[in-house]
Amino acid sequence: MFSRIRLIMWDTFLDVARHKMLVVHLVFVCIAIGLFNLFGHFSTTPSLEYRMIQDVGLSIISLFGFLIALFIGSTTLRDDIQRKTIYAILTLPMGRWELYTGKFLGTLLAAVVNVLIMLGILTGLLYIKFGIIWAGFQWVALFMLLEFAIMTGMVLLFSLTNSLIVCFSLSIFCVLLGNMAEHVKHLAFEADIPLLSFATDVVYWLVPNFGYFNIKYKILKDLAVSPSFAMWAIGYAGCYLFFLLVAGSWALNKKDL
Amino acid sequence: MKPDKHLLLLFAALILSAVSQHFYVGQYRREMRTDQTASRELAQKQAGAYLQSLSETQPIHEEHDKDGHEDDHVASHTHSADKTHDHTEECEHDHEHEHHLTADATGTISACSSRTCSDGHHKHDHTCRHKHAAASDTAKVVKPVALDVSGVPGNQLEIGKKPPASMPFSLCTNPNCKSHEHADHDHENGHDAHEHAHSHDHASQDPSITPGFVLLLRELGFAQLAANLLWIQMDADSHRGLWHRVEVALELIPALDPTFIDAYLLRSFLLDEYMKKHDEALQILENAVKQVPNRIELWQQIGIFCLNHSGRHGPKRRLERALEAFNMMFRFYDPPPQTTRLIAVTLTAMERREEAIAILQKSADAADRPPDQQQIDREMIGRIRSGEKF
Repeated sequence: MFSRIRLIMWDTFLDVARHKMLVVHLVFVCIAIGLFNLFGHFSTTPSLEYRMIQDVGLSIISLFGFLIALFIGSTTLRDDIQRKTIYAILTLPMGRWELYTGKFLGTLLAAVVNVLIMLGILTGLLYIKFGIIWAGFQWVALFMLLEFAIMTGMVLLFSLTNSLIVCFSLSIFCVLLGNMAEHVKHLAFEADIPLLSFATDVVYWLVPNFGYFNIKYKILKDLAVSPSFAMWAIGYAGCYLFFLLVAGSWALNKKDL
Repeated sequence: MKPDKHLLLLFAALILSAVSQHFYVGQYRREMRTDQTASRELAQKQAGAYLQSLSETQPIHEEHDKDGHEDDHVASHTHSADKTHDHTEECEHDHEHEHHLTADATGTISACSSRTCSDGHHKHDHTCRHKHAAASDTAKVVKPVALDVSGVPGNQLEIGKKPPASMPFSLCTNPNCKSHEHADHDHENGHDAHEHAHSHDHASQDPSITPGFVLLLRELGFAQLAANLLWIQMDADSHRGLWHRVEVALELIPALDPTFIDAYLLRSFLLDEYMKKHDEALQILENAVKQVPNRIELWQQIGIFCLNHSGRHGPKRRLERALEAFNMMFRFYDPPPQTTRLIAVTLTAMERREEAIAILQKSADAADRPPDQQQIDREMIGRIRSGEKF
C-alpha cells in the first residue's frame, strides 16, 4: 500500500517539476532581484529598505505560493482525467483512495519544495545585501508551508469538480473566506440574524482559517514562537489535511469514472 | 441500511479538524495575547478619535504658515550615517548650528542631529565656506555630534525652515534624487536672492493606493505589503504637498502593521516639529513603544523628547521618564556610544551632577571604549563640572 502511494506521489512530484516549477522560480528570481534595486529609493534608511524588501518579498512568495498551489492542485488529477490516463491507473490493483493519497502527497511535496526554494532565494539575497539571516526562519517556513499545504489540498479537492472555472472560483473564494473568517463571523454576529449566524458558524468551522497561519511577519519582527504553539499549528493543519484527504478520496470514489 | 464508511470517516475528520481548530485558535490567542473583541473595539475607538481630531484640527498647511520660519533654505535632501549631504557642488555656506546641547563646546551630546535639525536654532552664515560631501567631511567641519539618530526617519530629513505653502517640507528619501540641487548662485547674497531649483519630478508619478486596495490586501493576508505600499504612497504624497494624505497614511500604516516603527517616528516628528503638538507626539511614541518595545530607536526618541533640551519639544520636561528611556537603551545589545552621555545629561538636568560625572568617568575609563568616545566623555565631564545647564 505505502509503496504504491509513494510511487504515485513521486511520479506526481516529478511531473509537476518537469512542467511548471522551474519557470515559476525563474520569474520569482527575476522579481526578487528587481526588488533589491527597486527599494534603493529607501536605502538611506537601511532598516526601512530591509523591511520593505523583506515584507514585499514575503508577500510575493505568498502570492506565488497561492498561484502555484492553484495551478498544481487544479491540473495534476484533472489532467489525468482529461487525458484518460487515470483509467490505466484504476485498472491496477489499488484503491482509489490510494491514488488520491499519492496525488495529494505529490502535489503537497511540490508546493512545499516550491515555497522552500523561494524562501531560500529571498533569504540568500537578503543575506548577500544586508548580511542578516532571519532569526526565526524555520518558523516562517513552517507556518508558510502549513498554509500552502492546506491550500494545495483544498484546490486538489475542488479539482474533482467538472469545471475548471468552478475549481478556481471555489479555491479563490475559500482562500478569501479563510483569511476573512474572523471578520465575517463578527459581522454575522453583529447583524443579529440567527440563521445567518448559524450558517456563518458552520462555514467558520468548515473553511480553514488562514489568518491564523499568516504570522510570518510577526515572527520576523516581534514574536518568539514556542514549540508548543508550533505543535498546535501542525496539529490543526494535519487534522485539516486529513479531512481534505478523506473528502477527496470520498469524492473520487463517488466520481463516475 | 449500512452506513457508508467513507462518509463516517469524513464526518469524523471534519469534527477532528473543527476540534483542533478550536484548540489552535485558543492557543493562538494566548500566544499573541490578543482578545479579538477588545482589539476590534480599540481599533474602532481609535478610528473614531482620529476622525474627531481631524475635524477639530486645522489643515497642516495653515499651521505651518504661521510658524514664520526665517530661512528660505528648503532642503529636502536625505541624510544617513554614510551620506550626510547629497550636494554634488560646493555649497559654500557654513552651518553655524546652535545645537541645543552642543552649544559652544564640542557638540558632544546634541539631542538633535546637525543634519536634521530644522528649528530656529540654525543660523546660516554665508560668508564662511565648507564643502558638503560626505559624513566624514562634515564631521571634520561641523563639530562632532555624538547622538546618531540615523535610524529615526524624521531625523534623517533635512527639513527647510520656511517652505512654500504648496510644499511645506519634503520627505524625499531618495539619495539619488537630483532635483533638490541648488541652482548656481552666489551665496554671499544670501538665499533670499535666488530661487532654489527644487522641482520634483515625483509629481508626475502617482502611485495611488486606494483605501479599497489596502483593505483588500489586508483581508488577503497582505497587511504588511499594504503598509509598505502606503509608505511609498506617503513618500510620493509628501513630494506633492498632499499633507492631508500623508497624515492619513501615517495613521493607517501602524494600524496595518503595528511594528512599522518608521511611521510612528515620522508622525511624531511631524506633530512635534511642525504642528507643535508636543504632547501628542510623545504619546504616539509611548504607544509605539508599548507595541514594539524591542526597538532602541523608540526609546532613544522618547528620551530625547522627555529630556527636551532648550524647550524644543514644548514647554514640559519629563526628566524621570527621559532617564528611564535612556536606561532602557542599555538593555539592548550594543547600544550607541552616546547613551552614557545622554544619561549623564539627564542626570545633570536633574541636578544630580555627581552621579552624572561618576557615570561618565566610568565610561571614559572603560578599556573597550573607543578613544574618540573617551575624549568626548572627558570633555562632557568638564562641561558638567563647569556648572553648565542642560
